[in-house]
Amino acid sequence: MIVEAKGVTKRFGGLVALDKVSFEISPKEIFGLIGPNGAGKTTLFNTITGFLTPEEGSIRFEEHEIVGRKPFDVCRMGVARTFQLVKPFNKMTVLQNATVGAFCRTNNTRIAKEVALEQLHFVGLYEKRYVLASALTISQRKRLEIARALCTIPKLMLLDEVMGGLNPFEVREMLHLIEKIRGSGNTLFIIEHIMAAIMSICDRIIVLHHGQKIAEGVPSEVGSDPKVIKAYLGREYVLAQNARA
Amino acid sequence: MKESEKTGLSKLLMKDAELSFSIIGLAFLAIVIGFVRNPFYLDILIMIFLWGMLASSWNIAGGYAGMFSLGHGAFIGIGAYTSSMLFIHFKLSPWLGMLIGASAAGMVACFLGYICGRLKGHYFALATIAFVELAHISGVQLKELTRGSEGLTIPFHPGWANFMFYDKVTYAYLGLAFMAIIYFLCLAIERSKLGYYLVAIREDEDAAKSLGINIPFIKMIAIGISGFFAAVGGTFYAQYILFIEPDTVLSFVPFSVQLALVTIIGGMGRALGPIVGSFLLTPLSMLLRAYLGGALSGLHIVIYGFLLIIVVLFLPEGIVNTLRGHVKNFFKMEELT
Amino acid sequence: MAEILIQLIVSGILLGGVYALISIGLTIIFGVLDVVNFAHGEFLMLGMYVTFWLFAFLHLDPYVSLLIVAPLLFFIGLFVGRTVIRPIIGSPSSVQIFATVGVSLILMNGALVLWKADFRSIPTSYGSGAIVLGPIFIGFPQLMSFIGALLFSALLFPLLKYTYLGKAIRATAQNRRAAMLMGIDIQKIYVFTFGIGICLVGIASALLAPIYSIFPTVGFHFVVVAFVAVVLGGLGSVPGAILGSLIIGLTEMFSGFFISPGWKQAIYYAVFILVLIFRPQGLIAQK
Repeated sequence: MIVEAKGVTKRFGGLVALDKVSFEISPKEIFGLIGPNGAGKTTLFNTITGFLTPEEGSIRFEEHEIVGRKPFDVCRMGVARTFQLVKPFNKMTVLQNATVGAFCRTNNTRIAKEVALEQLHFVGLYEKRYVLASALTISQRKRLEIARALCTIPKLMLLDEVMGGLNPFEVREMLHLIEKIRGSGNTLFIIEHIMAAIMSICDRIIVLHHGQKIAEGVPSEVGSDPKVIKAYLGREYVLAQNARA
Repeated sequence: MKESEKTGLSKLLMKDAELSFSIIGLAFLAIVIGFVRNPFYLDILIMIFLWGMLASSWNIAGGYAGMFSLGHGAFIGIGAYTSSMLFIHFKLSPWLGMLIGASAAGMVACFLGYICGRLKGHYFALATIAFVELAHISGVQLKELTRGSEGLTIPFHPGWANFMFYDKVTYAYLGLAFMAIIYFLCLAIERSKLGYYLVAIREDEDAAKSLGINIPFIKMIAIGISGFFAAVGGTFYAQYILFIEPDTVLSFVPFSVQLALVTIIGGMGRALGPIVGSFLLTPLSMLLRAYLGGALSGLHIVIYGFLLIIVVLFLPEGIVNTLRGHVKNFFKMEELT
Repeated sequence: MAEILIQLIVSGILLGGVYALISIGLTIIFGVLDVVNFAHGEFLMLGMYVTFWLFAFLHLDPYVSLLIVAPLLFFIGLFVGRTVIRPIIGSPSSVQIFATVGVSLILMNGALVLWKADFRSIPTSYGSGAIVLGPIFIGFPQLMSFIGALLFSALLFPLLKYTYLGKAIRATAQNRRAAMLMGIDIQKIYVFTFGIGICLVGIASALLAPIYSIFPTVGFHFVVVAFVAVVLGGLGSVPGAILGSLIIGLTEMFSGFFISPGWKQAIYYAVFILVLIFRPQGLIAQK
């Protein structure tokens, strides 16, 4: 197990955003997280990456406890993330953005740039390396954010709705990229709303609703779980089934 | 063959266009100093270098990291008063006094950076103003140490050991050297991990954190270095003017504001920015004060104020950043960032 | 001793009331425009000078001049709001800070150039008058300022709460986008709110003119106090600004009495930094 979460609970005043959430992720797995809006998905990501500290529970990454650590520490342990609303370093170029990530593992600028160029190739942004981040399209920004995170040489990648705002063609490209990331040895934990996409690529999926885990399993199990359908799949389920057929 | 040769050569030039340009500029200035005889013009040059140096040190925290401080006067003052008091009371060479003062300022700056690091934008600026005002009050109230508002006069015993000279030309060369050192330091930082991290922090703290950046620590380093060199400038000021008082070296207005102003006009977050800014503003303000000073004292600051507003409204990136964009487009220098 | 304490408290509250007028303007500007107005004190100085000249040339009593100064500063506020402030809304802090610092420098030094550094004062018949309640001494002009402050604050509340304009202002402060979607012209609201903030400062200036000497940098002390009060109460909160001002007024009285006047200001600055670090939302919890 690369990630073991047990009883993670996060409260904001009276609101329970996460309620005793537990799950495990195996190495090289593509693990999905779905749930209606407000279910607590990004909050869960925030607790895993150290942006939030849960009131109760434990999250272990490769046998080390994450809870209580700061985000930069978690990154150094090997967990990288992207954000639902992309956060590029606007006044820097694509190459510079990625280089920032690479500095996580080295102090040498030349080496950092090399790593950055490599990852930019990997995501297909090499041609745009001297373009200012603010001048990129949304699809390019998402890929930049992924490249930048990959530069920190993570073992676990958390992608938060990385397909949001993409057209169907871009979605397919992104799915391809995600498989590539797994192929290079990473484990992935993905939040997504586009059902067809997440059902097709994930090995296993966990479903959150009102902060609680209501289902876990392989896509077909989750897809046919009446609790899940009741919570939110409805018509989407049928579409997902058609897409996979 | 010719294509790749061409790109090879221009690549080399571009690769360090800025460095080449600065070294040439430095040499040029060194030569110019040799030719200037008029003490008034030498005075202007010295002040240009001084403000260039001070503004560059401010730029490290304010421009690169986005820690917009309006309290750097405190660091200038710590440097100036430390070296001066050590010289007056203990006959300690101002060179050593400078290092001691700068170290003290650096530590105070680290502390300030640590406690105020989480403050954003205007809140941070406001905190630094309160800080420099506290320093100002301390400077005025601790009369036994600092002679309060009367100010401290540094006795003139010229010589290298005492960091004082009859000849303005020596001050000019020294000033140029100091400014050059800080400039090259900024350039080195810009291209290093620290520089990248500072800009990342300025642009998006959450993203920076997620990429392994320990923000409080880096901010402390940035403002520590910034405070250190501001204090060095403070000692230089003291050794040149030979008179310091809270209303200058520990001031919010004019000193603390001036540092930020010079940098914002010249271009924040660029090594050349503060220097260009100083070359523009320092002579302007000195000439304005010289010609309009007497009868219409204050008019030069009114003009300053207008200048400030115009720059901020129409050229918020500052001169260097705007020019860079144009140069990049004109010469099709893709790599210039 | 008890008498001294009561005197300090009374004077402190009166002083706080005066500071409140200045602080409310500052906090409203921050709450609605998200701009820190570094030039706030200079508008106060401007108003005081206008009051002075009205007195010197037309022999108008400051409390009467108020009727001229307040609208005048309102329009000046509209002008500055439109030309300098509105374009910088939403810009990074550095730009905003410098724009208002620029205005501050222009006003402060403009006054210096035009009117020189001499201290002016307005000698009114009631200037040193006082109401004496037992052992307690209440300066007449201080009392008038306090009453004026209460009066105009009281006028402000229904304005903000019940009129369409007031609601539009509060809406913009809470959520710009939503306000825009509701059909509120937020650009106009920004300018107008700035004008109101400056108008309040104008009222304060006329009320303060009989009490304080007038010189180009007089605004600085007041704006420092106003900032501390506003931060204490929470930037954007009007009740907070009032509470903060009262606290500052009391602090000033007490520290002036027990500590050397030179260090008095140091207390504000220290408090200021501490509040900023530990409770930036102010003593009154803000959403």
